[in-house]
Amino acid sequence: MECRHFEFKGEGKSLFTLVLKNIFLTLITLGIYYPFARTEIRKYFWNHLEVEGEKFHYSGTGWEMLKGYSIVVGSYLLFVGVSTLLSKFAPEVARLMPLVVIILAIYFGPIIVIASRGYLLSRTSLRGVNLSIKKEAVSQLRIEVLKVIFLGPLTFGLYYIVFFHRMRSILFNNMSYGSEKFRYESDSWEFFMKNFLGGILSALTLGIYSAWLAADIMRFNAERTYIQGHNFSMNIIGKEVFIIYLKSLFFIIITLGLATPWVISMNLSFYVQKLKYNGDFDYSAVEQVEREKLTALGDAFGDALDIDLGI
Amino acid sequence: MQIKGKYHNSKSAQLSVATLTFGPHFLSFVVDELNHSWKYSEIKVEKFGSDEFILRRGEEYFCIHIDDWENIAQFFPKKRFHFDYPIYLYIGLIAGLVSLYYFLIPIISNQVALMIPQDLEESLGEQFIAAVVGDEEDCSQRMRKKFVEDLLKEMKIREDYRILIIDDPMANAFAIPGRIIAITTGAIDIFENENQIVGVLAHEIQHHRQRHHIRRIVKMAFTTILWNVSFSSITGYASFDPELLKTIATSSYNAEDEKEADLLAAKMLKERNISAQGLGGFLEALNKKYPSNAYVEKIFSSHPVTEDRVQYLKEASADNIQDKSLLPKERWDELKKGCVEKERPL
Repeated sequence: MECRHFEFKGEGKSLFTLVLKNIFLTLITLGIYYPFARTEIRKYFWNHLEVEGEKFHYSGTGWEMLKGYSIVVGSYLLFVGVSTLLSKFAPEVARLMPLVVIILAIYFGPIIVIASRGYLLSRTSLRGVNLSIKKEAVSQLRIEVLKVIFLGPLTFGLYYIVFFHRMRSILFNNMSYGSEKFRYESDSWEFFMKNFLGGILSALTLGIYSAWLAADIMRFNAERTYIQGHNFSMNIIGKEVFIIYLKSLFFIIITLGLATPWVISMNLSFYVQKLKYNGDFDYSAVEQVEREKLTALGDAFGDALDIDLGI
Repeated sequence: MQIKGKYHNSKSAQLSVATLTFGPHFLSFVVDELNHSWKYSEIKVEKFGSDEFILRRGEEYFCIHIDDWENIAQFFPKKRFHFDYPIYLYIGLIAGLVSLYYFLIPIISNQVALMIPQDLEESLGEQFIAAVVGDEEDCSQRMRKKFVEDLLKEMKIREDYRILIIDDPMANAFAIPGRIIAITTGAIDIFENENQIVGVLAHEIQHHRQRHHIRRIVKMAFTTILWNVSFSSITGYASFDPELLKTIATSSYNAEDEKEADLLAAKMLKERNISAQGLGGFLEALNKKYPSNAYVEKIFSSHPVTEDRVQYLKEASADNIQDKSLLPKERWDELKKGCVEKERPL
């Protein structure tokens, strides 16, 4: 059985140039260039990620993002305007605003998460075939959000570990590469126990064990993710994570942040080369499927509200 | 002109290697025994990673090695790739950012801070008190507050300051917007003599007079904007916490304010013929209790390195060594001892 290896070929110098260009253009355009900068960075990362010599391609555009951000800014101004008017003319109603925000978050939060991920995947392709996520993920995620709202506080926050596992499961089980579906098959209890015990050990070792926990979780997740009947694997150990973290911290501190692009490239190269697909992937079986027409709105909302999936 | 490229039809993930022939008006190739020809005006060219570029028509595209670009560039006269920028561009951009951070932001912040009305400052202070400080003061807090208030009178400070004694074992003293000076009980435990309190008060008064807290809020806002512009598009890809950089970036501004408050405090005390050695003494006592690494302190701390502070404060007050007390010695003993509330009869 063959293995498919992944590689990140980005370099600190080229990323540094791109970051500098983005800072300069964003500043002189008073922020308007930001969506374009975000797109350029995404393009950079995807276009330097390879599987057996074939690069991923990111086709999102700055204009799509700019449209998304304009709607986000418009919605924010509308919300602030309505809140101000209500607090002035109808303070009784204004007191209900926090409740309205919670209801909106429960309803729109999952939509934003899936739309954001969906936009990113729909603009990403490998060998001309796109990645995608099914809309059904929204309703599944909404149920999980409702559960975590009640169970999170009741379990003193411990249920959040299960929630993150379920979220990952929903995202991967609804994700496809063209006609080929991804599967994530793992047990929430096993995931919970790993994190729970790892969390205790991390606290007892003043955070040092968290590198070993991170390696364990990366291996756990990769081994349980499948496509075309074969799983992925991550050949990584805690000591390596700990060393790369220390190296990153050292470079960042002694250069007062200037080395950030080099550190990011170093980290990505390190983690990506540890990832393997344990099988001979049959590209001839992969057909392009009709793409859903997703806009960048969800992605812009996700960025503005800082909804980071961390997955 | 003929070169090889990888053809993607975007219908399946299978790719074919084809030979592309560049004619005067068309690009032609054969894939699956079918002839194709693309007009140059229909083709979009884009860079693909660091070693390839793409020739795209609609959903179909070719990946071609970057070394072949020179041979076919004549067919796409409008397209320019920047494979490497000249060194002066890097230097210019870095210099621009450094001057923005070190010169422009402080100048703009100071101007903006002057425009912020005193009312707003006071309401910020009230909000802080409402959030952090309880309503009731115990006997020790009342007595210690009175001591500090009397000390301020003896120091002949023209403004009215509100004193807060915060019950917190961590030694600290700070200026809160709205002419409020807060001192923790942890700091009172460390004070070795009255001069040290006087030095700390003079330092906090200078923070108020220079409006450092408001300037700091404005500087923080500008630094955050610069920070977001610089790093927000790449933070998602970092495995470390980029907030660390923000801490480093803002700490140097704060350290400058602290140094200014130290030196102005020493000057003010000298002018009033009061010993200016107390602040340095307090810092030494503090450093004895909580020793720190000078290098780490220099990068992360919001204050200058303690050893440096003690040194320049000594120099600033060298010609003003006094040992007279402003309040009677019994008051000092009371302050250190604190008091116990008498139980109220039921």
